Amino acid sequence: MAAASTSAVDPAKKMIMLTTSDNIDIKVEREVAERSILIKNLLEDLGSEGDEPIPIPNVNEAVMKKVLEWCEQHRKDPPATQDDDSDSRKKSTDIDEWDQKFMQVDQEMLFEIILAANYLDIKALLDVGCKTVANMIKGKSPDEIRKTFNIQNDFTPEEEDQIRRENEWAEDR
Amino acid sequence: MPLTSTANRRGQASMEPCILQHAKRTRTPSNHTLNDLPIELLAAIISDVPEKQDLLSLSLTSRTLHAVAEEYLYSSFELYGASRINHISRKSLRPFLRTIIEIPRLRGLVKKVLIEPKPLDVPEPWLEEKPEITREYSRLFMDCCLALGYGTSREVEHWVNCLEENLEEAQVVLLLMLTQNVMEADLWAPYLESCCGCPAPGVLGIVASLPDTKLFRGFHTLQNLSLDFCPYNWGSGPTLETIARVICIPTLRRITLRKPTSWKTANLPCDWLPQASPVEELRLISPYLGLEQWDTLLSSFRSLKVFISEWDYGALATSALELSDIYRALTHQKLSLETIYLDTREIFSLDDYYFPLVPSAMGSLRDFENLKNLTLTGTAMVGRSTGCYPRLSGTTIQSAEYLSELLPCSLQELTILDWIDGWPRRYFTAELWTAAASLPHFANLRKIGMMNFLGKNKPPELDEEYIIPGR
Repeated sequence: MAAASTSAVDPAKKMIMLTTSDNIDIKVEREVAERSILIKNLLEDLGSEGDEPIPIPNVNEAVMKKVLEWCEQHRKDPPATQDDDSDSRKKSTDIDEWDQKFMQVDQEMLFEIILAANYLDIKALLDVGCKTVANMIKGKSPDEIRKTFNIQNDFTPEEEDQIRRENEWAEDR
Repeated sequence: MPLTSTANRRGQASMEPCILQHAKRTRTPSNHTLNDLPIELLAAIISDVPEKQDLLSLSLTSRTLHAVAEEYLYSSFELYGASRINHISRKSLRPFLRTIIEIPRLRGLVKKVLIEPKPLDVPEPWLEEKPEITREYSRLFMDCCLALGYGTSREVEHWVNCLEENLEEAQVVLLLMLTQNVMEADLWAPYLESCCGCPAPGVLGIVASLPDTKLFRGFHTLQNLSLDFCPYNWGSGPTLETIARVICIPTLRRITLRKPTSWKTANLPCDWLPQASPVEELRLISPYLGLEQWDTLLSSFRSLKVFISEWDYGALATSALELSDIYRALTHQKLSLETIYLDTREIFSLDDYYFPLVPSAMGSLRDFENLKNLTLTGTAMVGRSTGCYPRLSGTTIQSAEYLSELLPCSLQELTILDWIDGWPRRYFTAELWTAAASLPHFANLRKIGMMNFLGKNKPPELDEEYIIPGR
């Protein structure tokens, strides 16, 4: 280790290239990009060089930049353990302050981030995205939810009545 | 090899997150609204919405959201007791039952039920309309029993007559019988027995009356059960019989018993078998059990991996148990136990003359060959209480060698429970830990922690942690 003279560059700091769906190349530090399990696995498959650009056909430049901004901020986070996910995740819908600010984007972008986090396999970002949307739902009436998310009511009045009747027990609990 | 093909191969082979393989394929291009997200992602979002009212609102917005939200809306049913001033929740039991009786698909979605004791101080909401509801429930109960194959029609008729006097119990029994896919249940134990002084059988009574019941039938998917034996507003104590029956539910892996008491001594079901219980994790909160019952209980398990117990003052005083008796009872499980957590702080805090902190008994834990995690109250390791707190006599921890006589060599993590600035602290110094960790006996020990007791009913908080380097 001490006599390592060949490659002076720390492999984590090494730059790699990503090509987005709109054919834009983005240069990024390997450690940052490896928050994405998809990219991490790709790099491992390709060997350690990573000189060729990596195509990310499902994510455009604007969204990719936003996602990488999150990865940069969270580059040192410990990886999530398997045990964590089911229980502790559900308990809290708290989102840390930086993430809250990060998620203050229009809805189009918010859903794009969620889809990208899912595709790129970045669990922590997916969680933050889901919690952000969940918080937008809380305390709203069905009408308010429809307005917030621009959803068409596709129930017949009879169906709506039926659902209300079935779920009478859940009102005002 | 072209890059893209590698990407696809790897993308499909990726193991996690599991929600998402399908979502990757069904992605829609733009103009996203909540409604257009792949179902798996919608489910991930909705799983972060805990309130029933919000889930109901969601299920009323559109067909797509209804389909996903309904699953979460019905995943649990909770009936709170006096502690949460909530008789509203108790009013919801009847409409809930009506719905799951009418729509069998929905009852299959219920994975968790929580039923706290009936509050004493609120009027029973159905009193005014009682005769009508009684009739409705008699009919439902009868249909339900017959449909599920419980009892002959004559027996069911008899139960119904009994249940008319105890409508709420009848409803809870009905709920438990209908929700057959429940994996997690938190119940007031009397609902399982013939309860509240009434001759009506609880779920167990009904099930036990079946001719082919060896140990237990029902709760086919239950994995995690918590039973509250809190005796308020309920005359006699629950019985070891209830415990002996429920711990043998074949799918059960974890059980919590709160304030289990047993006034009668030999009341095991006649078909009770030692080592029949598949439970791996047992939590006893304030147990009021005699030595014989401890023995019976701990010999019931095939192989217990985790044992957790918290006492309060009354528990040990009533049953005149010594800590060494608990260790002795635990030897039934000494080869399988990996985690032991014994919280006896509450007892010592009350200046008990008799509470026995028996260091000599610690020796018996040395044979627990697979014990990896141990949590004890500091006083349980320091010395014998022969007088009022804080005077001590008898053995105290003097050296690391003494610790190695008390604890098994398999131990990986040791935690001492303590009060803030409590007196045992001065025995557990960094020097002691360093010396202990250097003994070959403790070659597996990785971590020693001190946890502070912040007050009654508060969980202890980690105060100091000593991590042994290089392990």
